[in-house]
Amino acid sequence: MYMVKKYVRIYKRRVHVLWTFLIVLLPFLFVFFVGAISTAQKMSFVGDLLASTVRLFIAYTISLFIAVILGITLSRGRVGAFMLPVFDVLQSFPTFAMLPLAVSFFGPSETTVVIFLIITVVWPMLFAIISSQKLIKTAWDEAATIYGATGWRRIVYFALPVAGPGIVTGSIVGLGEGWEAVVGAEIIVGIRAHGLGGFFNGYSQSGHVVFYGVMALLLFIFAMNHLLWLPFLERSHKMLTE
Amino acid sequence: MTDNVLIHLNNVTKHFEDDGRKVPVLKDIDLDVQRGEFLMLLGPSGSGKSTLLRLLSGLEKPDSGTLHMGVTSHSFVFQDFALFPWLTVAENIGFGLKMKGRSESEITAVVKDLVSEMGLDGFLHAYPRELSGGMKQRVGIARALAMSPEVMFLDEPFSALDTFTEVKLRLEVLKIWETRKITMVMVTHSVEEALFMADRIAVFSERPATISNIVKNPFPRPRNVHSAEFVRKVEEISNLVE
Ligand SMILES: Nc1ncnc2c1ncn2[C@@H]1O[C@H](COP(=O)(O)OP(=O)(O)O)[C@@H](O)[C@H]1O
Ligand SMILES: [Mg+2]
Repeated sequence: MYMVKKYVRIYKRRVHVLWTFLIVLLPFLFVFFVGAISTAQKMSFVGDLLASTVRLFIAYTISLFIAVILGITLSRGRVGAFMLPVFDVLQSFPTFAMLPLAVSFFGPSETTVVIFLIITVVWPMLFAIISSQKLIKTAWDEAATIYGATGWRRIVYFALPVAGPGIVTGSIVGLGEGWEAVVGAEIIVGIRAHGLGGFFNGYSQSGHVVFYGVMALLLFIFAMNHLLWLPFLERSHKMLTE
Repeated sequence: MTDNVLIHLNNVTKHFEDDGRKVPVLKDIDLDVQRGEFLMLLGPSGSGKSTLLRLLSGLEKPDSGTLHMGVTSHSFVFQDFALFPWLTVAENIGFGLKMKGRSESEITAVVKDLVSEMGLDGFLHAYPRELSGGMKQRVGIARALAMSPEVMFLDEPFSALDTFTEVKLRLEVLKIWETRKITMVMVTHSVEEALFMADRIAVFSERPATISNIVKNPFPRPRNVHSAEFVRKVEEISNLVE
């Protein structure tokens, strides 16, 4: 029971939760307000932001899964020692250059955007998790070994909790790059569905709309970081304080 | 290997790599750990006591020589506690059993008994960071006892504690040794502690360490550290260490 409690209790007070919701809503209110004084299609922006958020969220969830599995299994042993330099080269590969090729392969679909986003988001997450595993204290590692932590149990009850700060920092950096990438990818892929890429592309002639859009997006990202990720970060570090 | 010998070391050597240089740490170690005894490894700091203890417990492998381990279960008490900070006191104590796949109800029962035995009542759901050093090491000892070990390895378990706590915990560990009949192998750099607690004392030479002497403790229990014979014997062994 208390397992659940200690991970959920990142918010010290209920007020904090309220503020979070309020500030995450702020960009929408902002756009409604701007919409009233400009020609921008306010409903379009909300839908576009939502659509891009969903795509990024899907890509993030898949990346999280991949990064945790690879990060934990490859931070030790011979396979890991071999793969890390390979990853390092792959990571620095200019992914945007691959995008037209991906489009000709998968078509101008949402799937192409999501795959591209995964390739963008997964690297910072993977490296943050690997470094969290490298920083494991020898004594914890030895204690886990002495007390029989092997196989999946070692991953779930030892490697994963220790990866906490790595997962959170990786998420912050990964999503940061993801927001940039989602706009670019949607424009290059040229999907017809809703999306921020379409929004910015469509209003590229009216500077003030783009400006308000960018402001709203930044506000949204800022709110997510401060109200969601930073408390998580603090919490994850606290869980590793002896 | 006779029935009474639990662990047998013959001609064991161990070195570490430092910048590609081979640094010998243990040289030609011959040692038997006998069933039920309290064996102390005594030597100056850096002489390789912890390394030998880690060899005995399987955390390290010898470079050469033979190590026969006739033990089915063992546990380890660490110098700096090595508790898992993301787990509560109860979860730390039950960690080993959980790794063995024991049922929650069995773990809860064992933990409950150990918590009252080790004087940890009321701290079941506390985190290690909320405990004093003495309490932390009580958790460390309880975690070791939860495994019902045949042999317990203790690496300078009291050296991070204040004198009062140290004196108290020494007596408690002795009581555990007497009542539970667990074979104990402990590391210390204190001659007095060695002579107060152990049946036999293996004295380390300077690095690369060999065991220069094995002293049989002549005093019956309980021992009076203030008696003239005891003080004289401490001095005698101190001369062996230097
Ligand atoms: N993993 C390691 N890598 C390199 N050197 C080590 C390692 N572990 C111990 N040593 C070295 O071996 C020597 C003995 O260490 P240790 O067994 O911890 O000594 P003690 O416990 O007697 O103080 C020390 O000089 C230490 O620096
Ligand atoms: Mg040591």
